Amino acid sequence: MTGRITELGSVNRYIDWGSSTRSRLADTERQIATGERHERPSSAPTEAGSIIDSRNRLTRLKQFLRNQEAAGQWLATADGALQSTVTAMARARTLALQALSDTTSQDGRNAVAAELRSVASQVLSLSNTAVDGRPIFGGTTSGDRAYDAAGNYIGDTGVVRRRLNDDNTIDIAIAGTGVFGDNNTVDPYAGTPFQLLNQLASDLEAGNIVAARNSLDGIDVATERVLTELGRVGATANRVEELGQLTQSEEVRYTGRLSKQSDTDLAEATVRLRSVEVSYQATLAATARALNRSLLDFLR
Amino acid sequence: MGSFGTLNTAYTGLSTHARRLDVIGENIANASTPGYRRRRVDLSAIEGPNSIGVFSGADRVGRGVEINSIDRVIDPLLEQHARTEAGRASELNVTAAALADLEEQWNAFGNGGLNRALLDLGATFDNLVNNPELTANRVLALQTSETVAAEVRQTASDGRDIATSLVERATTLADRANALSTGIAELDDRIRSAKAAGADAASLEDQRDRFIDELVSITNASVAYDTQGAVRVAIDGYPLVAGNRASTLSVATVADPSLPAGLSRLVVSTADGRELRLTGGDLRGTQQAANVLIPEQLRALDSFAADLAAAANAVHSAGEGADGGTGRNLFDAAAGALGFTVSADVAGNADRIAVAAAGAGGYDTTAAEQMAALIDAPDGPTAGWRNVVTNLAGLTAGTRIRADAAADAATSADQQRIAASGVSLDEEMTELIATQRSYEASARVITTIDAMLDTLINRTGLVGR
Repeated sequence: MTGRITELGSVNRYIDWGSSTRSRLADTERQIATGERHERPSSAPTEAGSIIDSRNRLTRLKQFLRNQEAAGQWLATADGALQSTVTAMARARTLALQALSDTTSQDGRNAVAAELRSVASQVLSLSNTAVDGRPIFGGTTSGDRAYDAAGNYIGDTGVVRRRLNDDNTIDIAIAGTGVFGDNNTVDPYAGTPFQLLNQLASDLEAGNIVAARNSLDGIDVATERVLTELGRVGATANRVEELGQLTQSEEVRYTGRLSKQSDTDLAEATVRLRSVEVSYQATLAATARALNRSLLDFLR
Repeated sequence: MGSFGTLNTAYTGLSTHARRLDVIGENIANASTPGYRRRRVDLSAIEGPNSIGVFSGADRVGRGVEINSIDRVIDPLLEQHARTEAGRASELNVTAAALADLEEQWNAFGNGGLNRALLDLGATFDNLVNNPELTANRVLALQTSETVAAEVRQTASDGRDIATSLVERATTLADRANALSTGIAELDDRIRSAKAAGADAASLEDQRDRFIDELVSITNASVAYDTQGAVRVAIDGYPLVAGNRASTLSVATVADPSLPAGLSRLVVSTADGRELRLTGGDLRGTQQAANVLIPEQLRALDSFAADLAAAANAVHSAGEGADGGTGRNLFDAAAGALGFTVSADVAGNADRIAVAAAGAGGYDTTAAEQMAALIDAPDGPTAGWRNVVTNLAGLTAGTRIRADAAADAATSADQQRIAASGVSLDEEMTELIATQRSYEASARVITTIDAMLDTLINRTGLVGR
């Protein structure tokens, strides 16, 4: 019995063909309009997981870049503060040499002492440099100062970490004690720069030139400490920068990967659209002609 | 046989072919009527009289033609096949549609939703690591946790809503099935009386078959015709239509503790409350989706929510809030995904969000760091949620493929049925010509007999005049 061509059969068949071509047409149009190859995960069940992973990864990488930026800002601020400290210490050493010269009068020494005190307070305020209100040399302290007005360290030695990527959480803490040392009650010239410079100023004012000569070694030791930390900060900043670049290149890679996985290939889609359009028109034309054809046309 | 007998023979030809023309006309008129089965006129020759006996004559010529019956052309095997395939296709189509709905709601490729909320949660904890001194970051962390909880609840209630709409759908389907059963029973009655009166019941039968088709596509009921042409439609031994009486189906939901919270089991039962086991059709697809497939997905969601809460709480309770308190949970999954909330330990107070390690104090950020790392760990919540949605995607795609295959099979079975029972205009035109010629020929026989009788009556004895 099969093989009989009936009216209803042909009509149903043409409707079926037409609608399946129409739905292919609609899908191709959607791909071009939205730029997304897959409408939903079940359109590509085998790729869905890795598309979602790629998207999530990109979001995470953007966050890593933000973390890296925050770490970079922190380290750059520290670098600036340390550079200024080195400059201040160099100025203090020049002043000290000038004051210790035998040709300098007591009046001149008093003037130098006053300037040394202002250098000391400048260094103290540098030691309290803050990012977002948080003292960068204070470890994880929740206070807003690393050193109090008397020059005592009130921060801690906690670690300040930044997540730069999955495997690299780096410590960007620069504890004040490493940079500026601690107040030394026995030998003020071995203490913090502020203590040292204030002591020098006091000795100069009091005319204790012999004692004051010890300050030069102290200034050198303190400067050396700052320079060492400056080197360490620079190295850390480099590492942060490098990891940032790694993250950026990973971002580029994942963007490309995601695009390959889920973006419409426009050239291909356009060609396909054209071919589906042609086949749709052909189906309609064939339907129009075939449904006209019957014995009725030939009988008179 | 006498000349008048031949006239009568020719007359049977005329009337039979006129009737055939009627039938051809009806076939052509209904060439594209859905559910119309072509009619065929069954002809046979009228036997001549018994030629036993001395005066019976020996010509043994028949007495013309007669119509035995006008049949609907129907192939019971193909009908049955088409119905079974349609029932299967509609079952799978419903389950595939329900899964696609759920997938649409869970929107894994979209920009919002649970996935986005989880990523945001990771990002806010990262921001807390960067700037623990900002209160805004703690407030944001708490708000994002609230968003995650709200998204988990939303995701669960999306699933539950689909299950609820399936129940409504089942109710509508059962109503339709009941209306169809009543219709079939009524038609059955009318067909019986029409047949008893010798009237044409074919169009009633067409109508009844259309109703049966639809009923089977909803319920996959078994159909049997008895010798008198009455029909019996039954599901799982329960007669929906039998002996012109229709019975009803009812749909109810019963509580089932084995299903996730907020769902209940969809049951199809007889008028007197016996639960029916369906074997296919829309109704079974709906039942399958509501009782098995959607609950399966919601169970996966529940276990995802439990994992999320357990992992986040393990990290969070080991940390210390800005107010110095420790041992607090972040999420509360005791009520499953549907009742997933931010734990009462931290709700409403951003200072209770753990940032530091317990006892570390200050701006230590160990706990926040671990939380940020947890979110996108290879076995963390984002991966867990991805697994839930990719499993759903696989299931949806698989079901869609099976549904498409079943739809193809149903279309092809229906095409076979139409090929057997449908009207072909070419055939009808050929028949039309043949019938027209037969009619003309019968008329010519009458003319010829008439001429012969004319010769006999008017010209007898006039030879040579």
